[in-house]
Amino acid sequence: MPDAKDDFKVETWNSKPAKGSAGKTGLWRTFRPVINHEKCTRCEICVLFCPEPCIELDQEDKSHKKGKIIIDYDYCKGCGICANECPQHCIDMIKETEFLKDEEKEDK
Amino acid sequence: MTVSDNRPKSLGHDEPKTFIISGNHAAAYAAKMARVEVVAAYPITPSTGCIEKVSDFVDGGTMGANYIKVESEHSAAAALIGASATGARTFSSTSAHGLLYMAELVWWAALARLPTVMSIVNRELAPAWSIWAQTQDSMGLRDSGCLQYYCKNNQEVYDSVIMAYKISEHEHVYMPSLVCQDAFILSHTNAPVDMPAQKDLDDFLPAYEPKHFKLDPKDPVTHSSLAYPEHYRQKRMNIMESTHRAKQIIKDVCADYKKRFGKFHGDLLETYGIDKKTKHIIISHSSIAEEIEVSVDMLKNKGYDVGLIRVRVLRPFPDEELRELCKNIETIHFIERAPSYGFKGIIAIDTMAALFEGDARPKAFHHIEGLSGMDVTAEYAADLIEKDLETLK
Amino acid sequence: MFEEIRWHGRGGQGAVTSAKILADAAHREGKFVQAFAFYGAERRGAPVETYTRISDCHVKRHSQIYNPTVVAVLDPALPKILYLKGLSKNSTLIVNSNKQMEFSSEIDCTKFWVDATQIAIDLKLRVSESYITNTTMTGAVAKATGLVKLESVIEALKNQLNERIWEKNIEAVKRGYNETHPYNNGGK
Repeated sequence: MPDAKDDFKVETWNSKPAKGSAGKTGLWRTFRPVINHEKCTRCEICVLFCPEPCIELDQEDKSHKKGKIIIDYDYCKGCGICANECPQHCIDMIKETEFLKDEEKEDK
Repeated sequence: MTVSDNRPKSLGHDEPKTFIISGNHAAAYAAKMARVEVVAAYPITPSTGCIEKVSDFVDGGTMGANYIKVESEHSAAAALIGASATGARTFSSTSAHGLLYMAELVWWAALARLPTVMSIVNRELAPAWSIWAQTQDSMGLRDSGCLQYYCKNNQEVYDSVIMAYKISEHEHVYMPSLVCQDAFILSHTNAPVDMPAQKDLDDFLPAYEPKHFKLDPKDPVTHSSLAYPEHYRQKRMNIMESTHRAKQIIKDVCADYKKRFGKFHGDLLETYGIDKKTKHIIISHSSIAEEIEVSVDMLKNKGYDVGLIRVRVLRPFPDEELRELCKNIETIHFIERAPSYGFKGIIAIDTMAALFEGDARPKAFHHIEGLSGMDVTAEYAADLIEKDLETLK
Repeated sequence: MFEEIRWHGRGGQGAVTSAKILADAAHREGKFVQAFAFYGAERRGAPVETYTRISDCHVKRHSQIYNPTVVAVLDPALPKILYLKGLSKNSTLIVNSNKQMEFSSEIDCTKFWVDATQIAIDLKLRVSESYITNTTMTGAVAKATGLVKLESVIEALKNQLNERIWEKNIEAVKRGYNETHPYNNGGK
């Protein structure tokens, strides 16, 4: 019989809600939503509609009296719902390949 | 026996043909060409592809079966039992939780002596949810009386379903068959499958004519009603006798199939790289075993005296055959996908019990590998065996 | 001959069909084949891998492909780390890209590029958010590797796809075949 003091433990399958527990779903994106912050009124419709949800209002940002809408590209899947819902039409869906070069530069 | 005109149609091909299809579709084609008369199934990943294909055949008019839509696997098996008892050739396909949900009726079909055939896609059981390969779902039903075949590739799935009907419907057998394939590794892998011409297959597998009883309103009988304890032993030992006799029948049917169609995947078991002097034997099953054939080649190149036995049929268990092959060996290495919690790998348990009736007492090494479809690559398996053998030095 | 082809795409781009069409084509030329994928929770946009094995004789292996002889990339925005794993200098890499995508010098395999996304845009091969590059890339693989003839790919395509979409996809295969370019330095 195993020693009662040994380090054996019964293991169960548990998971807790956590950010990105399924990996960085931003990798799935073909199109990237890009906000035109000059036109954006910070109405937060995109925040409400984002199914992930990975859009939020950063109230600390002082560039505008209400703050700044930021998209977490680590998890945004590029579904385009935000761009579709935006009343100001100030979110553009841009092909992800357009960003490849910039990111490679950053890597170096 | 000639094919009667009222057999369900199978618009099969007139000439032998090769299709590149998944294991699921291989089973579906086999059901069609076996001229199955009744299909009842409830879809579950990863066996869905099989019954989808069957329903395509039925819908497209190339398969003359009655397709019964049911609300669960339990009902699917119940429908097969009813249909089979009226003398119809029946087919279904399921997997993992679906099979366990119909488990009650799998036993019923076996104890009622109904020769139905099911294509089982072996899938890991939850929790945690998994859809990948593991053979505990069907191996857990090994005591039910069902004949169980574990296939190594898509060709074998096709051939085994056809042969399973011939074996199950043999007048001395009358037990159901589970033809098992690994989830995704076979069920969703496309590979060439050779099929004989429909007319040649019809010669091999004539129409099913029930020989012992048949539910028929014109000749009423009560089947499987209450019975008292004094009747059970004889009836249950009759099942024992049938399943033992099935061993020789499987050998004969496999040999006949080989003669007619040139396809042979072993009968009760298949050996690879074994001769009378082989000292170290690997025992495995299903698709893992086919990959381990590559490991055997690798190990032989390194100078190791190893061979492989693939247990193709788990029930009836090839006990005498294993005793004969393992007479002079020093070590036996089990690589299998199904543990029996509380003891060892399921095939290891049966094999060691079989060897105990002989004189050989090889040193055993147990490996439970490939759970939830984890790849057991040829290199990985060779490495396992090499490490086992190093411990002997 | 024993070739292991690994396809990288995203859920919805048809990488499974690519693997099947190539296998079907090779089978038409008398080879033994396997076409399969790693199946998980298939989701549109998630990176996926599919596999084709082509051999002169029956293939006994059933595991995934870890050391591919050919890698085909259906989507240029996939992270490189996903598709460069297991490549050796004898491998061939075929990337859907609108130019010679740059790789670090350690990636010394033979390289080809084809602008499959542009071909998909031209031919209107699109399903919701995804441009479908699978048939184009199958043509590209046929050209870059010479594993199968163009005609075999077209015949295989007809076998695997619905007649309704033959025309566009046959055009895609042909353009993929004709517009595949080796990297300037002799493919290296």
